[in-house]
Order: sequence, then structure tokens, then C-alpha cells
Amino acid sequence: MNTPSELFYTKEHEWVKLDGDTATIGITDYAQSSLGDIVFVELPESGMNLSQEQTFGVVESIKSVSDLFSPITGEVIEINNDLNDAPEKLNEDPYKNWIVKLKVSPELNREHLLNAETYNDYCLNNN
Amino acid sequence: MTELKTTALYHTHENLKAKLVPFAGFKMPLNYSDIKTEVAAIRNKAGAFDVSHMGIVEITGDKINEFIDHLITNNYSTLKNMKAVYSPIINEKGGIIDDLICYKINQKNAYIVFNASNIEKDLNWMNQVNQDFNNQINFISDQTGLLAVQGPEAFDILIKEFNFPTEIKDLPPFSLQEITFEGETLLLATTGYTGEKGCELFVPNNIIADFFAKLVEFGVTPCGLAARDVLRLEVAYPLYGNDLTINHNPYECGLAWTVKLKKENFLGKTAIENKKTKVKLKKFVLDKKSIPRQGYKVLNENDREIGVVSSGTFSPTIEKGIAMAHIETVAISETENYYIQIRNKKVQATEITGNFLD
Repeated sequence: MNTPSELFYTKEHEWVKLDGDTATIGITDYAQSSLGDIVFVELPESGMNLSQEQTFGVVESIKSVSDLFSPITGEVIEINNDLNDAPEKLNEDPYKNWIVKLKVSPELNREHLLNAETYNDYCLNNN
Repeated sequence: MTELKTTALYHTHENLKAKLVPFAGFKMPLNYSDIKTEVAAIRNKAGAFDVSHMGIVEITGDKINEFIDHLITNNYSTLKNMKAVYSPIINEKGGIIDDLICYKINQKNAYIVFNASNIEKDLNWMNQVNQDFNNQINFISDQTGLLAVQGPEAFDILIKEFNFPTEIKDLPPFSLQEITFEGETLLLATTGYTGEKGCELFVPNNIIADFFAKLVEFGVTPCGLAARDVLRLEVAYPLYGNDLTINHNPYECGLAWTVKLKKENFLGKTAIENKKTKVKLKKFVLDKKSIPRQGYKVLNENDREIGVVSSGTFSPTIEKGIAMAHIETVAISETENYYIQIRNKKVQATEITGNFLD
């Protein structure tokens, strides 16, 4: 399982990369591997305001439907439209192929986010 | 929680690194590799499933024809030796108890194979019905396993690598043949749940692990329940619990062809002779961007709910969302366009006849 150390994680198996007031969000390697062949991604609209834990999209594999939960509060500023035509990119490289970018407040609460080590332990204990 | 049962191939599945999940009281492989690969193997070459979780009874006795003809809606007594028939069994209200396959060895010997999820219910039902016929019904799943070997090259591999007789290629569907393999007798049936050429094999449990390992060694892809469900839906075969339920009669699930009202009598006959068909099972295909799932609502142009999806998936073979749905009979004549509610979107669904690969 690939869990880059520079990212933050959630128990819903999303990753967050924080860079100034931009948060880039995707699903983890563990998530894509558990889901199997991803065949559809439903993306949010640009400009949408998301609060922490709000669902903002859906990832479907051949046999499953999973909601995407926003790891943090922010406004959608960019969506990865490549995923409309090539949802399988999430299987191929879930960290390069991000899903949305949010504009977040600099005083963002990040206490609930897990570091790579804690997330790894969480996955191992829930497998 | 009661402990999950396993088949004789459990360790084989573990060794093949299958993802094992609870299914109908058994711990069974959901997939070994990925679903797309497994589905493609069956469509283009050959794949094998362990279906030993299914219930198997062997019936011996003098009144098997009478018993099975009373039990099922389809014809059994007119069946020739070494032939099989698919049928639902229904209760006194016409509701489907299960769907199964009856295999006639000869007039005094038969096998019935039925769904794992219904083993106890079916055994009770069969034993009760058999009280008037006095045949012997033996549950043999603890001695005999079942393998489905399916795909365009399935027979070639069995002939070349397992020394199966070449004439198996010429057997019509729903035929049986005894095969000798390493001193054991196997029963080969040209039945399956994928729409491809191939067979289902009754294999003694003492050799089934070796047999399965040899299949894999000779290029047959091991396939799990997930691929099996996709494959059967692509060819519009119904699944008990989804498309067939106790609340539906055979006419409501596309099984009119299995009901032989000319038969003198069978369980549930009176009920379905008089029963109204409240719903019909219809098949729909969606475009690539939408995947229908079990439980999703079917709507008409005016947003009225007129049905519900009973099975839905993404088809990797045609790369589209596909579904079967129970649609209210009264709504059918006045509905031109069907839609499926997928989260907050109403997606047009195109009705098809035949199956999704036609």
C-alpha cells in the first residue's frame, strides 16, 4: 500500500495535500485497490461550498458505489475533468490523479486529519 | 453469528489470493484478480468458478418423474435420460421459492441443483412434497462439488489437457455426459450462468482441488462471484433474491416459458392460472456515464415511479450501465420513454429485447 508521507488522510480513505490556501483532494491507494475497477466518477460543480464531511461526489466501480466526503471545509475551485472520460486513472495513480481542489481558510482546522503513519495503522487494523 | 461454511476448494482460493467474502452462509471468492479481467477471460477464452456452495440433492426412487413434475413448473417427465431442465419452484400463492436445474440420469436417478441461499428452505420444501412420492432425497454437497468451466475455449482445454472426449463439443445445451477422469466418474452438464459455451462439472470433493489447480495451470482463469454476477446479467439471466423473489410469480420475471400449464398438475398451478401479472421484468441499457443499481427507481416522462431496478451493474463487455427492472404492467402501455433515477439525476434508459450482448 502506497501512502505518501507528505499528505494528510481521512478514515474515509481520502487524501489531502495542503499548499497555502489550496487543498487538493483525492482517494487513497487503499481505496482504489479495495474498490477495484473504477468505471465512473461523479464530480461536483466548480464554486460549490463544501463543509467538512459533506458528500461532494461519487466513485463507482463495477460492483460498488461509494460517496466522496470532503475532508475539510472550502470552496471548489477546480475539478479534474479528465476523470469524466478516464475514471480508471484513479486506479492507475490515485495520488497523481487528484479529484478536486478547494480554496480553504488559512486557519483551517486540520486536527482531524491523519498523518501517513496513523492512516496506515488505521487501514491495517480495519482490513 | 454462525460460522461460515467453506467448500472443498477453500485453501485453493486462499492460495490463489482470492478476496473471500461471506455469501449465503459460505466464505466464497468475490474475485481473484480484477472483475474486468475475469469477465474478459470468460467472454474471450476460458474461466472457472467454484460453485460448490450451491445445494445438490441426488434423488433415487420409482416416482421421480411424478415428484419433480409436481415440484417444478417446467416439464420433467417428458425429458430424455441425460438431459437437464431449468425451472422455478413456486408456492401455493404462485410466489417463486427458488429457481433450479433438474438433471435426469435415468428414470430412477436424478440430481437437483439449487441456490446456496435457499438450501434449507428448498430441502424442507422438497422433503415435504416428496412425502406423497416416497423417493430418497440425499443432500450430497458434502461429497460432491460443482465447477463451472465456461468460455469459448473451455471445451478445447478440457479435451486437450484433461483427456475429455471430443464429442463433448457437440453436446447440445442442457445435456449430460459421464466422464472418467483419473479413475473417478465426473458428470458433465452443458449448463452455465454466463451465456458462453462450456459446462458445469459435478466433481467428487476428493479430487476437486487437484482438478481446479490443473484448470488454472492450463490457462483457465479462476473467476469469482462478482464476475459471475456481471456475466449473468450481461446475458439477462435472472438471479434469485434480485429478479426472482417470493413476492413475484414466474410471469412477472420473464419466466413464462418455464410454466407448462398443460401439465396436469403442479404446485402453485391454480394460483398462477388466475393471478394477475402486476409487474413485468424489463431490460434497460444506459449510456456509459450512468450505472443503474438494485433498488433504483424507474420513472416515466411525468416523473411517476413505475418500477424498480432488480439488478444493475456496469457491463465491462459493452461498457455501459445495464439493468433489469420490475415495471408495473399497467404503466407499460402508456410509457414511451423510461428513466432511471440515479441520485439526483433522471437518466433515460433504453429498453432492449434479447440480451445485452446481442
